[in-house]
Amino acid sequence: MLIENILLALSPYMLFICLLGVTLGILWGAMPGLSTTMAMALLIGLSATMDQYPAIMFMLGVYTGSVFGGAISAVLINIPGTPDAVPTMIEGHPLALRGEGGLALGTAIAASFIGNWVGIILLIVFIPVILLLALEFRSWEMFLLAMWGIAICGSMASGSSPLKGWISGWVGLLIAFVGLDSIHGVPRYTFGSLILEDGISYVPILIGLFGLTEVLKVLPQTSPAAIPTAVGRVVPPFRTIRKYARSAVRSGLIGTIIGAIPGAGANVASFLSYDIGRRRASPEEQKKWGKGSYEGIVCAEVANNANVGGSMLPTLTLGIPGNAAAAAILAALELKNVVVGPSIQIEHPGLIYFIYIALIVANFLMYGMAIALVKPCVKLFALPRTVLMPLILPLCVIGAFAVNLNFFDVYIMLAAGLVGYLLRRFGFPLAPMVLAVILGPLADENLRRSLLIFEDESWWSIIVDHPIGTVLVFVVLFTFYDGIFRRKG
Amino acid sequence: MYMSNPAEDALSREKKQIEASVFVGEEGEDPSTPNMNMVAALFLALFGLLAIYFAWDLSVPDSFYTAPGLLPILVGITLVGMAAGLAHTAWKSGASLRVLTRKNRLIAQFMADVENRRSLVLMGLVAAYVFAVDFLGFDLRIPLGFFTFQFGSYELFSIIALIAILKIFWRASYLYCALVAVGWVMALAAVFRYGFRILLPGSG
Repeated sequence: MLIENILLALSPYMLFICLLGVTLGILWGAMPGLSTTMAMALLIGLSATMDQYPAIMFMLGVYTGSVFGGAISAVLINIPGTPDAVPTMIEGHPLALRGEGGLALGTAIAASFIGNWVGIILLIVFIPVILLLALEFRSWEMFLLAMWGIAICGSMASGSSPLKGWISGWVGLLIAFVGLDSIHGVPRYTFGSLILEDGISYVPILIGLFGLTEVLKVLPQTSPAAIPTAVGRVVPPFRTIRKYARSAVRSGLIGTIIGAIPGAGANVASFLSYDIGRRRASPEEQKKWGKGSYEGIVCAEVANNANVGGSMLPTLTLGIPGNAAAAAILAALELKNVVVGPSIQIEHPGLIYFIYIALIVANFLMYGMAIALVKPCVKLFALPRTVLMPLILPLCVIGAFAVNLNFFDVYIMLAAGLVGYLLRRFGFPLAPMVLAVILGPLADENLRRSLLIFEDESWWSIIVDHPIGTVLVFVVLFTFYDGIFRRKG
Repeated sequence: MYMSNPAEDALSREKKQIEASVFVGEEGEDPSTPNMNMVAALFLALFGLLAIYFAWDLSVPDSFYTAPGLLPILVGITLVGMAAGLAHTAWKSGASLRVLTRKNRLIAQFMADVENRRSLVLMGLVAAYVFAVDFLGFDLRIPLGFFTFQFGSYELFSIIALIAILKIFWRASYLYCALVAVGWVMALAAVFRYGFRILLPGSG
């Protein structure tokens, strides 16, 4: 099965599809203001037209490419292409000003390559363990897991104000309840509308919140014109990579672990790894931090790329996306009738192997294309954002429509974009809302099922007979406690 | 007079966060004022109450434990609680309920900001664009020997909307705006319609 999947992933068509995804991802990520999630959300529509395996290959290519892409504009023009590239910008741009922009980018490319490897290896090692554990999960545990996912996503995504993250998640839950309920078929929040009985698909919500909202927010701003800079040599000497090997491994571990926590995306990974790297750097190296440190670039880039593999861990094993970009992968998989979760190995034998291989292939292609695309990207930076952002609008419309060929989804996308804009203006994060829209039906159905099972059981037997559930209850309570009390201190 | 640039402000804010090693948000959401939090809390509380009211009305075909409104009611109640928490935090930070009675002043303040006005114009244009594609749908097919060229409401209204938006925000000449809009929309339509064989919105 493994050999079959390797051969399939290495077929010329698959390599082409992956190359297309990686290229689009790098170019998208390199454009200031265009985030990884936006790329993923908008390209779901495109992947919907492909067969199952090419669609997965394409989306993983986009994911891998766009996470790196943010580093290009961060280093060369001092504007991070994606938010997680801010630490790379702080260290990379001073190097570019000293004429070492090419080397800084080359280091970022090599670090991204290493980061992806760390993420993939840890994904391969831990998936069997998590799957074994996940098979023990019943309705009660799945409900608690979904609620923990939303709670921790709220905490992580909104940083200083977890309450706002949770509120965003709770609003998402209420949106998820729209439609016929899964147990009795009773219409909820449909107000007599037949079209609402099918529920609200989360793909147009994803496109609206991360595509349209960004356009509405960024386009009216009067931003400075981007000025391309000379690049110079790109491929870094091997000794540079060897010198920072320890930082790379540490950052890879941080990136993967953060990626596996729902809601904690590449941003958290790169910020945290950069911070820890700065504290642990040698006194001589510490002096360079903030003024152009290659180690700083390694820490940030390894971590945000390792996050890709990490985020796939809960996505594939539990059906809980590690971050908003992984939610787009989940959407693409669902469109191809792939139901991820504890039974993925039984229902889709061999698919996980294909995903491993696809990630490895995407990583190699990312390395090659990143080096090849550095100079064309500099030309693209000459385009002002006032030209780039409007071009996303027709893509949002087509992306929302293409999934179900239903114009109602375009209205959902429009509404999500407007609501997303308001939420952003009022300081609410958007990722918890998307996660909640995805996990809402899972939480609802499993809570009611488990309550029915527990009807004749005492609380004591529930606690004793369901140890994983009991642990999860404490984990959920601790997440809320930590968010409310620790941050106050 | 020094005019602050929002993009530069955001960048310097992020730089300061990094330098202080404090992570304050995944999405890069805007910082909000206590008054804004108070307004948000009141809207959210109302939203939560409405969610409870409509969930309460749902039929219960079987046991209470499988009631379709069970989780929506629980979520609504906790949302109202969270909104109360947000209002309490906002009040402690100096927010006042009087903000709601000064509706006209709030609107005037909002409209005084040029970026807000530009945002409203953009929202209006995007909404008009979406409605036009849906309600004024048509599909033009021109046989060109070896293939049939299609042009529908998606292409037409996308081009018109893009020209208008580019003219307002990019401020280039109409010719440049039209060239960019036509080139991009036709390329996009060709990729989706002929390349991936997807029906386009509004026409087909």
